[in-house]
Amino acid sequence: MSEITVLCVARESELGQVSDLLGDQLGVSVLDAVSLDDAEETLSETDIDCLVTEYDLPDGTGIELIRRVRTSAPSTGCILYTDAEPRTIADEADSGLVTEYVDRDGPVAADRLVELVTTTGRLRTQTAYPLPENESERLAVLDALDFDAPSLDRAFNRITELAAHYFDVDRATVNVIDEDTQEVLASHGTDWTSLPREDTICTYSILDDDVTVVPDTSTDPRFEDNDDLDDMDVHFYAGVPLTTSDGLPIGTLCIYDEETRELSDEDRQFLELLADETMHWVSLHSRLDQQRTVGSPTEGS
Amino acid sequence: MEPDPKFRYGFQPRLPIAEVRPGTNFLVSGSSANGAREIALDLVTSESGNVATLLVSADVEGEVLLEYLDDGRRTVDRSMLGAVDCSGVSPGEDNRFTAHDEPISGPGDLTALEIEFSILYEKLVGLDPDEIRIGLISLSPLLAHSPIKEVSRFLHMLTGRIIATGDLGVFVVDSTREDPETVETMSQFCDGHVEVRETRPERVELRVSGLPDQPEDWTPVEYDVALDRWDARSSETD
Repeated sequence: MSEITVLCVARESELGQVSDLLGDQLGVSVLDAVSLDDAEETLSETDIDCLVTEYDLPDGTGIELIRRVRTSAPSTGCILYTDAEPRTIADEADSGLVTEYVDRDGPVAADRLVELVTTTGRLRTQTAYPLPENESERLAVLDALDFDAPSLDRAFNRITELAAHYFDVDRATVNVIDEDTQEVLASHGTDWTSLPREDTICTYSILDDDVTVVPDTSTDPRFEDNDDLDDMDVHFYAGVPLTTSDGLPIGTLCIYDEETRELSDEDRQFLELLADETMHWVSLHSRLDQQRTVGSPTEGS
Repeated sequence: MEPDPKFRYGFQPRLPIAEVRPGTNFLVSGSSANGAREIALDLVTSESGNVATLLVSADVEGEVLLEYLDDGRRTVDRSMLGAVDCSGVSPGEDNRFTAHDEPISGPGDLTALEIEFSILYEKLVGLDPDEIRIGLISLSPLLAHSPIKEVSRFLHMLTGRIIATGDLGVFVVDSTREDPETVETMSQFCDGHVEVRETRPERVELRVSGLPDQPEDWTPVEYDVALDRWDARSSETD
């Protein structure tokens, strides 16, 4: 497991207590800030897994800070650790802002904070989308794969071109689903490179072993309010997970169209066939990389 | 003290659902929405003693939900029971264990809901129960008032907490009101999905997916289930 980074934001007189609690008990990497400005400066320089903030800050409130974090890095775990009046907090949040809350004066406040930082950091429990069961393992495998080889790039491009022509759609892509983004490795008909995971349909299709078809994005409750899809003129989607031999879904092969449509059983099978072909290339290159590593002389020997 | 690794959450013998590990989350839905609500109330109670139950009440007032739970059909210890009322119907009812005077304005107020939930949870922990069972009945009013993305984040946060604390989570969604994609998405945050359907007046069947050693095929629930009482109340909160 990679180390969890926590940003603690509190008044100067109380900061040490919270930082020490997390640093000593959990052994996580703790960054400190004493104001909204201070916290924003840290956030602009460093990615964090979890934010622990007091409500009353010298230049604003913890709710303002959480709102800003939700805009820039929406999946960050946010915890209000405060003695402020709950009603004041809820009134400012107004509604719709999801955050953990720990009453700092509560009898087991310190234990609860440690527990919640561990959970939100390790399990990433504040994403607005479900995660695959084996998410950590999946990300580790993805991290170990190298997609930079030119021949792999050519193969992916051919597959997207073939998919777009066969299905008579305007766009096709090969993607990997990273921790917070969907990285487009190859595409036909688009220049997309990276998309926020929270806003993509592939985020949902990697959860299903089968082909995911969204005949009309404007009538699917998960995507009907998704302005990004509207802006990209995506009204039809079909995608199939790219799955390793160990059953880990690392990405997707998908097709998009500006017109709504259906997909026949035969078409679904062909999309699966193309996904198998894509993974065949990934496996082949992975094996070649391993052989090269084993065959090359050890550095410095 | 370290938790007992062999500990399991058991259910009333009449309920055809096998015991589950601590930290398990259930979604309960189905063509019988009222059947799903009743089965959820069965799941948050147990015949074993020293069980604390925390309900989040969105379909009906918190007091009414506690009455339904403690209607003589289930083993309930009133002193270990609490409800967060976000139905937006009945302010200031007596059975809320909350520290504040003002009620949650309604099921769209997710921040207030989380704060009330946390405060009540800590109070129940202070009673030193052997088990804590958490039920949210139901997610549908939340979905009607907030974007699915934020309700998803809220549910993810709650199920994550339940995993961390080793409690039992039971979440109901009214599938007669929601699209299948919404029900599917909500189920993806839970370990097990209990589906409930009505077979004849006051009788239901259920099946469970996603968990081992549970009834995969439709299995009759061999007791009368109070299906009708929800309709009058739910229509008042619509």
